[in-house]
Amino acid sequence: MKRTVFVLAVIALVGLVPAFGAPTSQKIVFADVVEPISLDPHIGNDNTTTTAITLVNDGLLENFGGKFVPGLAESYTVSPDGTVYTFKLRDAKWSDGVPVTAQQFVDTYVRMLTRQDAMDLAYLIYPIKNALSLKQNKVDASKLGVRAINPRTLEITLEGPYPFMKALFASSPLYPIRVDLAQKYGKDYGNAPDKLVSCGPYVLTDWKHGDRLEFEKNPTYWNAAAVKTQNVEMLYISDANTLKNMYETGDIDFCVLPPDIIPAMEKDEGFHYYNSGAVTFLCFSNKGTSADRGKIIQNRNFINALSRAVDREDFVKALFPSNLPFTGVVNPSISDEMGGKWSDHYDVTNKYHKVKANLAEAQAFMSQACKELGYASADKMPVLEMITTEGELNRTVCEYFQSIWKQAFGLQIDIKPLAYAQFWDNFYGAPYDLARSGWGPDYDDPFTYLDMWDSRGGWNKTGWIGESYYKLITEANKQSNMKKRNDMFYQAEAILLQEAPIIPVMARRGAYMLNDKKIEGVYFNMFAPNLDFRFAKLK
Amino acid sequence: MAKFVLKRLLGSAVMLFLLITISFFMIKLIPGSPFTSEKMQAGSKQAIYAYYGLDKPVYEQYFLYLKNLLRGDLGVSYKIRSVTVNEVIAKSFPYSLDLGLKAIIVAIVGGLALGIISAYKRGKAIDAFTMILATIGVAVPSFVVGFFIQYLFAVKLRWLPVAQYTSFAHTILPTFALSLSMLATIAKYSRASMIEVIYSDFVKTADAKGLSKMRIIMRHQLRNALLPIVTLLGPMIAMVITGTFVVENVFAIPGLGRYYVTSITNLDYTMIMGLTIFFALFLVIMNLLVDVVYILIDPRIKLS
Repeated sequence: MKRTVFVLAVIALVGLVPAFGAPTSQKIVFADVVEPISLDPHIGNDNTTTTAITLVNDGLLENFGGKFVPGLAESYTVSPDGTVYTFKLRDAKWSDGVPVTAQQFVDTYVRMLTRQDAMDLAYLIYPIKNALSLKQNKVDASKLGVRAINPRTLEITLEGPYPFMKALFASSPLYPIRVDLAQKYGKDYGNAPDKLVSCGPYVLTDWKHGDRLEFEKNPTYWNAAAVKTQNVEMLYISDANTLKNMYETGDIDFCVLPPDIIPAMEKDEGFHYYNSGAVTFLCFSNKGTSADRGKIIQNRNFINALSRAVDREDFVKALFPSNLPFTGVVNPSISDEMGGKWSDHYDVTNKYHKVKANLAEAQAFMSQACKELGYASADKMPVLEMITTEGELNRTVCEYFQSIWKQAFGLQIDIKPLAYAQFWDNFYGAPYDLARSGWGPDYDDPFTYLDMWDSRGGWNKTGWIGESYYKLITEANKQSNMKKRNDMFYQAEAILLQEAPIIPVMARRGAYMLNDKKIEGVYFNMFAPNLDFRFAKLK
Repeated sequence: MAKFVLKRLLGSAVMLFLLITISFFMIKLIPGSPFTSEKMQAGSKQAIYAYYGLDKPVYEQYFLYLKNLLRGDLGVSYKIRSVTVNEVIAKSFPYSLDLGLKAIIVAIVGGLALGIISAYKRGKAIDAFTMILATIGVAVPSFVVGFFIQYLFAVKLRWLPVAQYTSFAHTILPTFALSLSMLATIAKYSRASMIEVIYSDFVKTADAKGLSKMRIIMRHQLRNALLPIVTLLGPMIAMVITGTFVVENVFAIPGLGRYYVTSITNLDYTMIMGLTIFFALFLVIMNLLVDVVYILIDPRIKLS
């Protein structure tokens, strides 16, 4: 009996888990704090998911370090009015030998607009003619502006000359999939090596859910000659501190840093800041948690007072030394579609909201607001509620504003941290007064920051209608002259900053670790995938 | 004995049913859903809810869940749409089980050894050391221990790997982090019960008969020292389960504990329910086994 127990104990100690920690040959190891959701490009486009998808798939165009180069399409032409794209597909194959055809793209986009179960990325292709109508079931699939003229020629017609379509054609949600396999495997599509085929630089060889993904070079990839490393591994390391430790020991070759760990890594070798294009702002609802609160937060002088009391430079220095103060809506590093950046020609800094606080002006705004609303002073106003997502830092951010406004006006704010999912539920549905919120760009074009405020769309639930605003941006999108379009966008931004219930706060930067002495050929993108290592090589 | 086991099983079944019901409704009370996100468009929310049956009234969802449960179907993860809860449990549980078993063995062997030694060397330095270790082990949370040893042994000294669970060497640090507080508790208890026994008559007799110290310990005293450990085994298993949530996260081990934590943050209803039920079932069975073992090894206990 004792011996049995002893033997069992030894077996248990040695382990039920096989030991296979052998050193391997040249292999790139990447890690992230979340796992990819799926390798089906319609399900998610967060950075981690996209990074994995771009290894096993390819787009009509490719974003190669900021330049859009031919991908599955070896060339394309655009009609003079900018609405019709004609792609000539190259002789590419999926890893099971089936050729990549134009019809697969047609089927892919139809599926994207008609499937019921995906996370909703369909909005990304609304610029395609009749895409929105198809999604709303108003037309049938044959009316969609995507046509296979022949197996190697694909024609895509847009609702207007949206120039950011180039960027979209290079992004993962628009990659083609094999609809025949998706129908065969259903929800399992993209979940395991045998439920997926690749037309990209790598093939998935193993996916241990909750642990890692393993990839091997795809010999049938059209650009296989450019792929320098045989094996790639993507690890799921949920703890930021552990991620840091693994980078330091060389267990992983590079990674995007989760925000809380950025200050700790700043001095390390291989640390790089990047402008993520994300912005943080406060926004007000039009309704408020009660009628009198609703009136207060709609008052323009009230909003201006709150904005003028905030010193954005101090705020950033105190809480987010890696971020930048921001007084606009469109992030200055976004492309202007004319070969440069938005900030080359447009700058809204200090025009409507100011970087530095001005207490006198703020208080003047507030007393004006009080007069208009019928309060003797701000401390007589009802307590306003500020919602935010959970997290120590988020709470601290709100407390910062809470104390600034209390000092300046005697205004009282109640902070309400909510779980992520609950926050967004509130933001879209329930009444709130103030929210700490933000936005990350979907593609490299100013429209990604402006589209969201269109009250006819899905995001702007503040109650602010802004008819002149959405009419202006709709007009702007019809322009084929980019300068004219950008001018109109700039006007629209001005409307937002003067009329919409928004207080911009800061532009966010992120950071990644990449030791250029150890690895070459890794490109950084502002958009997913942040780190493109398809053609990288360890030195 | 059979009646005892049967009664316990019945009681556990009732308890599990209550647990399932309460958890189900409690989770539904949490605002938000697994599908809320900042990029959600208005119409698609209805579509997704309808697809997963989340638009039905709650009691209808509850009965549907029970029906599936009886067939052994715990549902599909709402976050990772392509994976079923059953698959997740099947793939991840071996890791948690392996880690848990190792931690328990290390805790028992280490704790016993320390307890016995300090009982014999009562009042000396080793005794004080054991008591200090016991206090630290119980007071310091396992993730602090985990991070500390990870930093020291993996990052600074490079003796052991930082994280993951792919070889024996990988299991050393997480096992230690998970076992420390149990080891400390066992050391304390076994020390106490050893001291109780050291001066008893039957030991004096064995000593007088000329038996070696080792023989006395192993043959006669150990059994007594083991008793509190068996009592502790039940809560220890519970401690191991909850400890894995943290340790698996720190050492990037693909076990159930880590899934549990992330599913709560993601409000992944099916995963939370499935894992709760699984853990509860596991605990119930383990506790029953422990009680049976206890009865078997201690002749002083009667089943009445």
